[in-house]
Amino acid sequence: MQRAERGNKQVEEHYYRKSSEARTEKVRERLVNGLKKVALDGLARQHLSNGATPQTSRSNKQTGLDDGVQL
Amino acid sequence: MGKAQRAESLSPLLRVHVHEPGVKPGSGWVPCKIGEHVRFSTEELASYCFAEWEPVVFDALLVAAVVEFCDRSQRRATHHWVREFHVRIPVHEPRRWEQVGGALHEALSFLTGDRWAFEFSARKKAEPSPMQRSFVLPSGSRAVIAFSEGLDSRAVAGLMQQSLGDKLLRVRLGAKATDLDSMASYGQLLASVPYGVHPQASVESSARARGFKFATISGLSAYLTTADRIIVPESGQGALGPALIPVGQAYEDYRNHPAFTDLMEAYLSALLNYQPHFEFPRLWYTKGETLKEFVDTCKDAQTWEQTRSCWQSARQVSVDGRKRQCGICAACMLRRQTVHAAGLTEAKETYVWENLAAAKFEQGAAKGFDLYLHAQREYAIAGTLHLDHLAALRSSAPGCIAIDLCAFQLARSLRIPEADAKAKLGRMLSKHETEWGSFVKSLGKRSFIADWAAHLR
Repeated sequence: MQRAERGNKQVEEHYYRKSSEARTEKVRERLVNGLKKVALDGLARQHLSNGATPQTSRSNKQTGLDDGVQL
Repeated sequence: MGKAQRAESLSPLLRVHVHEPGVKPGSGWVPCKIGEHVRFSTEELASYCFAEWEPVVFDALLVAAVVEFCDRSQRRATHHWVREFHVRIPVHEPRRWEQVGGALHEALSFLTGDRWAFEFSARKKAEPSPMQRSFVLPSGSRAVIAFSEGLDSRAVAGLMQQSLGDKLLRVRLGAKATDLDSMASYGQLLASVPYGVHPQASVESSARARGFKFATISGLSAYLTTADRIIVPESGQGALGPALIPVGQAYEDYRNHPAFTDLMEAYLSALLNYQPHFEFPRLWYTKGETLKEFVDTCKDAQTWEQTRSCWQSARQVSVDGRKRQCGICAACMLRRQTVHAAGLTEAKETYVWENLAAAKFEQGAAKGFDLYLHAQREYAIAGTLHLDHLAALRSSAPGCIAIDLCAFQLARSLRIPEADAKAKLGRMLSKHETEWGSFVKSLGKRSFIADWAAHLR
């Protein structure tokens, strides 16, 4: 969220430099609203694999000397 | 390609070989010749040996100079902050420096956001001791303070002198003649930056390494005078604001932050076997509160009017042949907010931008001034937004996260409870919000500054 906020500030500054105050205000409002709607929690959970990824299948237990990889 | 390799490939790499005269630099390395790319002033250097010449002091100054050489010689990529530096450097005691390498790397990496690697080798020839000079220094100094022509520096030196008297030693960190004049009136000049750095091309202006230079000079001054306290005069907005409000891909600015000076303490302690302590007496106060207290309680308070906050050169900010302060960069805007908050006034001729109440940016400048208007407008926007974003920090979700993180860092650095750090930080930010709001309101609704201060709408 902080990284996104940094980007918003950069865009705001850019618009003040290159465009009008009124347009900057509109863009800033849209950016702020957009950031509020982003599901960052879900994204973070997915990245951290907190229950969002499928369980890995269990390995077969090998017991004998000849139980290796099939040739 | 692994993540680590990918990150590495995005970072520009600079390999710098620092070498003595008569020694050939390695092939594939950027040469940094002592005496050419880093030039020491014998006279200035002499102020570092009033007791006994210590080669380790020279080496520490050389390391600081080389760090600046690297910082200015390698441009940062447009969308990627990190750079990588490999530095070969000759020192008098390589074994001592190898033991310090970890602390040096930590301080520099945290400060600049870059990756640093040092290889220390033995010097071919020892640096000769500069001619000793007689210095009249107050005996038994307890604290040193970085002294410049800035407002915080003047005010905090005055405030600290009340309790420390002549146990407070001022250390000049500027390199300009005007600094010398202002120091002479105090009669306590210890040392200045004793070297100049001259890279083949100066291509990077972010200058984060300046914090390392100033902390090194302050630390060495404290070591040489056996002072155990180093006073950092920065008030809350100046010390913490740049780390709280980073923009775009820029790394947080920790130049005057306790988290950085904490790492500098570890570095200086490992290098000199001496434990200095950086103190921030005005960390929890706004600059306005600092100036007000200075004016209310100190005898030499009227000197605040002679201070400068603007970093711009005479070429950029002169009107009718007289140098002014621009009045619209971040430093000047904070100064004007500060003066307003302290209930003081300045002559309009202090600044190029005499009138901030003007409806249009160009109309605010002194009559006849038409230089660099485009660049000045960009400085003005950046300065206004910085103070406005800092004022708005407590009222946004990302801002609250930044405050929590900052409180956590400060609690660790200052060894205080996190709740305490958060409360003090919150108070300072709240005070800034009030001061900024009051300042912008005083300019009127039609002011071009009010147009940019979105937080107050």
